[in-house]
Amino acid sequence: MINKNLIIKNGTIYDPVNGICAEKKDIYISCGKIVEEPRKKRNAKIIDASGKIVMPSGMDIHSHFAGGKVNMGRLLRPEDSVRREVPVSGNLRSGTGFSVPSVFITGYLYAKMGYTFANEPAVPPLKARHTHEEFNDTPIIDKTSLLLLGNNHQLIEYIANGEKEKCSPWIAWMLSMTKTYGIKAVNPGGTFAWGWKENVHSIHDEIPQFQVTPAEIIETLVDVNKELNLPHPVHLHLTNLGIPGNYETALDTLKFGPLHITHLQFSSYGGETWRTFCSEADRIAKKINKSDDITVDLGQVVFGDTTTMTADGPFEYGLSTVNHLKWNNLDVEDEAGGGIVPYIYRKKSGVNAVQWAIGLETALLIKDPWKVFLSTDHPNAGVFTNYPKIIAWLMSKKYRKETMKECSRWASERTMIESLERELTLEEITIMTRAGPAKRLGLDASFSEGTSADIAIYDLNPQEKDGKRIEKAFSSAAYTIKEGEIIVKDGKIIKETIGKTYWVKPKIEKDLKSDIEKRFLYYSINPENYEVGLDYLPRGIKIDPT
Amino acid sequence: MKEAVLTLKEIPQTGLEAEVISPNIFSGKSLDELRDLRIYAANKEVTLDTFFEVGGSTSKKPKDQRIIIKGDTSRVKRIGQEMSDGEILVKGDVGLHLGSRMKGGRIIVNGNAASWLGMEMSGGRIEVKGDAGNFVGSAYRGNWIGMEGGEIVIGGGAGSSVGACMAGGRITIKGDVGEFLGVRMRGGLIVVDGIIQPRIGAEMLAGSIIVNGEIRQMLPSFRKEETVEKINFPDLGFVIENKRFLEYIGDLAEDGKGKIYIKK
Repeated sequence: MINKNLIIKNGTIYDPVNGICAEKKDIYISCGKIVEEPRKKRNAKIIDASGKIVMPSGMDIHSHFAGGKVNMGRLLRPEDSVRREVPVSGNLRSGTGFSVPSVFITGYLYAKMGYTFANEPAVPPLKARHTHEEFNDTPIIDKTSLLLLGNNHQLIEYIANGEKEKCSPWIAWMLSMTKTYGIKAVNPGGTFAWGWKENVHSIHDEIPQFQVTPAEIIETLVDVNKELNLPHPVHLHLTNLGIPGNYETALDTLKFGPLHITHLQFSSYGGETWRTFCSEADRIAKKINKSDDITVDLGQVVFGDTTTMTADGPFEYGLSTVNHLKWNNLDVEDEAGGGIVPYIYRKKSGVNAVQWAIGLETALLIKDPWKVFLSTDHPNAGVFTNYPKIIAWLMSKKYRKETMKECSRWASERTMIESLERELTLEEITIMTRAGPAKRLGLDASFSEGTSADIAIYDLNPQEKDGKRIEKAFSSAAYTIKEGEIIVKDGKIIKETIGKTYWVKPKIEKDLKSDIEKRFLYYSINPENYEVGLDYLPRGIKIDPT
Repeated sequence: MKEAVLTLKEIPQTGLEAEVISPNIFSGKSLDELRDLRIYAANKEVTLDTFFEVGGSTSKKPKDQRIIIKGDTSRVKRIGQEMSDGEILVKGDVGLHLGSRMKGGRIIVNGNAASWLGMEMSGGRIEVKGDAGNFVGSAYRGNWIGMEGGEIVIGGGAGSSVGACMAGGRITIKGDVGEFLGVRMRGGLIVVDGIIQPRIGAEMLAGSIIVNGEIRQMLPSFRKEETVEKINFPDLGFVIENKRFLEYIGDLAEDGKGKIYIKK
């Protein structure tokens, strides 16, 4: 039976949106929403949260957890599958997979950490149907997805032909067809050039066949984003990602804001070769501190075995020539591409140790927590189940020093991580993992009246400074509450629900019927079969951006 | 040494997932606790005593624990998985994944062993008196590092892909072996006394294969070197002398430095 009324008593509340920090306060929930006072107190179920911290549930702004590319990773890596085997228990489903877990357990693993939302940031339009199918089997968490548009053939043609007025309606049409939430660009123009066995090496390089540069593509996408009034800014994976000296490209691109720059760690590299590789997180953080329309997420490296996957095909090919492991590249017709390579981050590797430090530097050097969000670019730099460890590194200088001692000397010699005294507060962590991502996505993670009651309660003393204890508390939520229902109790899933999927339907100002028909001459399917129907979204929430 | 005795009551209809049969798990438990250990019969979780009569005694430490398994256990999988010490004696045949990811201790099989014997093992010793199946000492599907240490000795023959991706340790086979012996091998030593089917050492990067018997075919991507009379294995701590071997290096298609020695 669903308890319509719920009261969380005596907890220490963190609600940055409403300026509440470490206050003892009761929270009232009625019919799945936060209320000031419930009408009928008598029937309410009471959760005693004394000695515990209470915050909105976690929101992951960037995690490759569903869709064609993720599934290709599962197929490529049967050896990853045996590293986590979850048997059936009660009503819960079974599953396998460590860095690329199967759908059901992905939902469970997020909920266990007190997370109830994840954004799948790279959907090739043709793979949107597959993504939504996996969303439907990923329980509990709410989802959004971003559409890969930085290498879209039609869009590049419009830019090249000077038909910029057609870009907005084309993207509006694509977003509506695919039931996605916003614009993602991955190495704009670069993956397109990869079709000719080339890449772009700066945002001012022209791509093959067209006199168009990545800068023009980014500018166009930012303009379209403004015109369509989308809730999330353009979500950008930078050019030259993962290459020494790429910080210059990052600085060059930051001026195109408003932007959300994703997994910034991979784009904050100094040096000219891997031998002279070093951190330039400081310079980038300074620039971000000065700008007011850029947000970033970390892409924090966590040591261990993982699976890299991105729509940046040429990058993955390059990585495979470095580590000589199995690899896969794919081309999605006129729309996008991608690749997958297993990767092991080693503490003793100088490069990996510097990468680890850069992520932490980024989080600590950007002063405003509303500008920087926690991510591992799951599973590229680490698995999302490591978020508690990263929180502990950020909150405890001692804890990150302990890890640094086990790392290559490069971590202390080639970065400034050792000199950074800052330890993030629980309020700042709440912003970086909940309120901040929500704000940037145009969603809500707060305890304001009428908000969906998505709440995480952790068994943690607000004054705790011990890294291990912080990690343990965030690994296993005392309670995860989703829309007023108790999903997790003491780190165990007790109920499985279906999450919501948000999508946007911008107004289409111009009829592109003849262009669409012409474009689909080059597609393997007809435009009539292109649309992902609403029957694929059992709990779809349409956002009308106008 | 204390001996726990498991006697199979009936041959199961499906494979049993019995990774709990290991000295590491048995030691320190009472017989009743052993009977209550969970195994999977297909997708059903059952207790160990559903399929086995449990007798004998248990020790405090894995080191002093011997497990004797009686009956036709050819459908019992994963025995001795990840064990680090102690001993297992299988009187009859045994199923898939015996001693996979084993770290130490000893397993003896009087009958035949199925495939995936000693998969990704890193230490210890497995002796099979009869034949073994495919993928002996290999990597799991998709993985690129197989057996890294320890020793496997097979009295009879073995199937195909023996020592796939093997990175260390030693496999000795007295009988014949199938195709793709030492495929993608990157370290360690395989010694075969019988007949070897084609594609030996395909994609081999490093490591050695000694052929005391005969091979059916040598890949064209191996280069013939000189005849040698002494082979030294400092890592494994032994030297072969007073025999003449023809040395091949490859697989050159992978820029490999693996060595195949064929007895003259």
